[in-house]
Amino acid sequence: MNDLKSLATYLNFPVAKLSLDQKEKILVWKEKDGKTLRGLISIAKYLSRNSSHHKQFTGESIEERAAIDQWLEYRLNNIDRAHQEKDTNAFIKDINTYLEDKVYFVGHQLSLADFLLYYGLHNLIRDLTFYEKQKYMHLSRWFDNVQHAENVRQTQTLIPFQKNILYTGSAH
Amino acid sequence: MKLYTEKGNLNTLKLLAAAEESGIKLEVIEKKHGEKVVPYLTANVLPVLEVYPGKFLFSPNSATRYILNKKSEETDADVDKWLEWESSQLQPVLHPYLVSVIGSGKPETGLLIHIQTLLKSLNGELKGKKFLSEIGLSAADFVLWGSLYPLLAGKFVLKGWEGLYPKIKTWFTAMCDLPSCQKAVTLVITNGDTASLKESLLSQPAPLPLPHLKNVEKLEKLKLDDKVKVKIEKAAEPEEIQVISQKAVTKEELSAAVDAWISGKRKCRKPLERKHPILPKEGERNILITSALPYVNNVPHLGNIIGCVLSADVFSRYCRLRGYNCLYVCGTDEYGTATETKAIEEKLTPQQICDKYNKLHTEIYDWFNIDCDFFGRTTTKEQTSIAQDIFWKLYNQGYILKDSIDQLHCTACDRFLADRFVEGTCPLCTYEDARGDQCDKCGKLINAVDLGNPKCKLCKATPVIKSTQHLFLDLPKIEPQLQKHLDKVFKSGTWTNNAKVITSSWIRDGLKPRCISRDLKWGTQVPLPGYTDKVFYVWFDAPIGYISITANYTEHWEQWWKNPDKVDMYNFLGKDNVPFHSVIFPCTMLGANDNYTVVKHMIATEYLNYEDGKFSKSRGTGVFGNQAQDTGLPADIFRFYLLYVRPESQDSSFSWDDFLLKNNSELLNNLGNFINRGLKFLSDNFGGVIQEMNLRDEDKELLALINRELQTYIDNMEQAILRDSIRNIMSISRLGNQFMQSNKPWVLVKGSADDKSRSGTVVSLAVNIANLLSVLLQPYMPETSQTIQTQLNTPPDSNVVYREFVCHLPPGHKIGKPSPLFQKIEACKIQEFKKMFAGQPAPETKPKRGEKTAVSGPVNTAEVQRLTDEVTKQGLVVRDLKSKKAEKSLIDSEVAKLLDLKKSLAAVSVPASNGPGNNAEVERLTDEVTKQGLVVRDLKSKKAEKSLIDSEVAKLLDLKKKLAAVSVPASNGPGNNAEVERLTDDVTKQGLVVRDLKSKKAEKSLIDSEVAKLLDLKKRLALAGGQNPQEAAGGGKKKGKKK
Repeated sequence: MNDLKSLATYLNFPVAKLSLDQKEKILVWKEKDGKTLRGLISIAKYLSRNSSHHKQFTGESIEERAAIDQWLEYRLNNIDRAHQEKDTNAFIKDINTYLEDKVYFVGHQLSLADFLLYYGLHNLIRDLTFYEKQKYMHLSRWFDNVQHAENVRQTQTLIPFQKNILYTGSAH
Repeated sequence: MKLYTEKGNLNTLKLLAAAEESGIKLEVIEKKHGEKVVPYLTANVLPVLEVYPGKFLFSPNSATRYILNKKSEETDADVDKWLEWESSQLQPVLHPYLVSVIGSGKPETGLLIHIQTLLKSLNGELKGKKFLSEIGLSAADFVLWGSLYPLLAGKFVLKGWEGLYPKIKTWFTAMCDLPSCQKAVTLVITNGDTASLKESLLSQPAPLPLPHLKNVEKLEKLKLDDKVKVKIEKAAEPEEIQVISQKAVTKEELSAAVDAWISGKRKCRKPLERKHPILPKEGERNILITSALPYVNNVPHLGNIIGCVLSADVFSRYCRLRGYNCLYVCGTDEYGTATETKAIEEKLTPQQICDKYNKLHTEIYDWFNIDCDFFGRTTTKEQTSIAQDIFWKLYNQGYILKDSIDQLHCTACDRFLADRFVEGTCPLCTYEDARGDQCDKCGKLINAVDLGNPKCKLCKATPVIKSTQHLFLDLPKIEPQLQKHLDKVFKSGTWTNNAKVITSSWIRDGLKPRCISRDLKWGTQVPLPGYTDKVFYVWFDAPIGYISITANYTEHWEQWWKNPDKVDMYNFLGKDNVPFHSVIFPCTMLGANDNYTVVKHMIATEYLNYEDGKFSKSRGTGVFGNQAQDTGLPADIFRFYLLYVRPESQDSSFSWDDFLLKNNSELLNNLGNFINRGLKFLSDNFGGVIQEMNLRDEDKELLALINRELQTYIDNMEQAILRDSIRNIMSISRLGNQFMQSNKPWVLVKGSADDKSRSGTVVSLAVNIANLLSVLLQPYMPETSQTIQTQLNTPPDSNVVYREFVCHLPPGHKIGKPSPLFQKIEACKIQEFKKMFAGQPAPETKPKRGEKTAVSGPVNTAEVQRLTDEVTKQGLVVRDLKSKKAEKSLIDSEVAKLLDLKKSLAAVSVPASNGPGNNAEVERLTDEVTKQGLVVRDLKSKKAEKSLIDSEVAKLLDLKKKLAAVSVPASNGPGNNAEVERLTDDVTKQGLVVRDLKSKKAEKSLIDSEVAKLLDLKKRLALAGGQNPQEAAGGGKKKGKKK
């Protein structure tokens, strides 16, 4: 819920109400005129589309837009729903490999995918040890880059990353 | 583009259909089952679309949409919604289901429930639509069609779905008829046999399960008892937050804010003078506010208070601050059966009962600072004359019908018995002490004539059924007029959603003539000859109380009540009262055709619960009006919390933990802190005099942000959304706190002359914000508002709510003496309150009275014995019912009784375990443990049902626990004397070592380590001697410090 609140702030979105439908565990967005949207992705996309810097944020080509969709879905169905360690490890590893040759998730600038993945991964990354942060180096690099955009981070805590390689060899 | 897939891959269906539809050629590459394609993914997901070499789309939905978008792009919110729904709601249940059906041939029926729920909502959404999105055929259709295909067609089809979901049927058939879809089916499904999907289904990774659905299944399996269910429901209360993003302040906003700050004061209207009697005025907004009349012989609980009187109070105070000409009337509703019954119970006359309770009510509302213009009552001569007048008008215009109904008549008392005056056997659950209107046991509403073996409550004689003539209000005849009125006010007025819904559903179900007379003495007499031994039904009579109470307030009452064009009437009430206010009372007034003022706005609340359950007078659960002051907390704190959790759009609950949290975080740390800090700083550094304020840009922005909150506050209040406005107040206070924090006037004040003047600006602005807060807070916390204003020495002209923040405390204004506004509530205090208002844990049962005395008095072995016996007996009853496979509800209620008894038994036996001489108790428990152990073993050997075994095991564990509790002191008691002696020696020795070291002024670390050893020894000694080690060790430490 906090993610969408921050997203609305980031996009300068006017007042609305956000609640959680506890039966279906779905986020509900309700505006003053009664317009209602359901679901994290749908709400996030709606907000992004109706904001002023919509072009870069939602992808500049059909390909980019499709890729952003895919990563939002990934966040919702893989990251948010991973409750066992093996699931968590799987997606951390995958994302890390994916980001090996990338600065942002999609294209060459910050997009909605980076925004929501940053929020989706925040708690998990916070709890990583320095050793693990080094192990998932690409993920860490991406995360550190995104969190330094203050309008993205907002009230989230800044997570420290080491600048140089601390652990060498196979001692750990 | 390449499409990697495998034989019989279900998700390829939607992709191929989309490709056919958009005419895009895909190079299909068939992989082996389980082969990996995307280099960076651990899982072997298929299909995968390779957009460019090395760029993969591994989400079938994103890929499907992408293929369609290649031809013509849409960015439709409905498509977003359905793709999200499919992947996050449907797949987690559909995929495992298909795997179970097609893959292993053992359908998991547990999943079907969830699938059916989803299909039902899909069916609903398809109503009146050809395709899922307004834009026509889209990715949403292909995605859902593809996923649902094996469920809705072929060998493994869900039987009978066409009948259950007709809209899905129409849509699905249309999709299957598309050439693109037909082509895709032939490509993916070999020979049209959905069994060919098996290999792929088994090799593809399953979507991660939905955590909350898993829980639901578990719960269903466990069949948890009601208590746990209640907890779950409580957790199901949706949390809601208001998103107010920091939209950048525009130039226009800035300049308007500055203008208002400087010169707005002149535009503010003067505060309203409240001169009684308040009467409607030409050209002004005349608002008549009523709060549902509390029934006289109930002591209102916090839920009743927030439901109507307090809500109406806040709204009326707000109206006055806005300068509306408003009148707020309330009073006690005193006529009716319940008063009569109560009077007989307390051996008083009904009038005495009313006097007694009216006083109680008045005191309660006084304490809560409910500021009615007039608090009256319904037992007045004005009530009689106005009610009778309205009746005659209705009668003369043909809106009153006569009919006979069957009613119980007691020959001994020579009167017809009202529902509550009859007792008998419940026709539904055979409970013997059912009341004539409702059964206390099964809670169902019943007709008094249906009671088995009916008895007159007063004389215990058996009444007979007799037919009697009654009067009916012909609602169907007035309905067109009512409908016309409602159509108008639903649009123009403020009606809470529940008020609209309840009203509409009442009318939709069809109005029937409603009986308005009763065979009672205590009421307004029916004036029609032949019916003069009857009185008006309380629901015909009570709303007329609003009019008669106004008539008691002023002789010019007709200016309010016969002035529909100039007067806006607001009814505040709980949702249970809606139909009487929105249908019956308006019908009465419209039918009387006497130019009555009929309701234009209706503000109905939902219910307030207490902690996890309900407020209950009979069980003493929850805080009642007269008890609130016993807590020693100020009324304002209660008002604040009640309004903060006001059950506005759904039921909410009063929770002590939350109460503490809101007080300490919102009131104390936010609001109280801000106000006190500003005032104190001004007093200490500037002699309490407001300084010249030279506004910088950031200050102007603050003004603009405050104006935003202020305007939302007003918008909310105008619609009586009282709960949200509190949040605006808190937001303003938060803005103020941030402003102080970022400017740090306490640093500036010590700096240069410029810095000092800046410090003056900051704090003077902050104090002006405090002044604004005191006004906005007035409807919610009148006393606190008054306290703040005294401290601020607020000029009386400030007390208006204006759309913009204006400077009311100009430079040179001197404030009074600041002092803290709120007190911290300690957690231990809250624990006390929780205990104080917890009440009896279970519904009343017969042995309760005896049990109560037993609990408070010394241990009563006879009582224990009696209860033990009863438990055994009740246990037999339950077992018997279960073996007979009796109805579930019946068993449940008996089990509840059993649990209740056990609880009472536990309560009674506890003191025994603490007292001396509990050997008997230990023995008894040991016996019971042994017995219960046998029961469990027996059940297990018989392979009884798991749930049964579990419950017995739970009992066993419980008993063991009790036994342990009872026998603990014994095991510590005698102790091991030799051990104690040895340790005592050690302690003495070690003590000497330490003293020696100290006297030698040895190194600190050395002393410390020896002291640690000593403490350790002392602890061990304490344990061996059966003492609490904490105390022993603590004592040692203190001594050390003294030295």
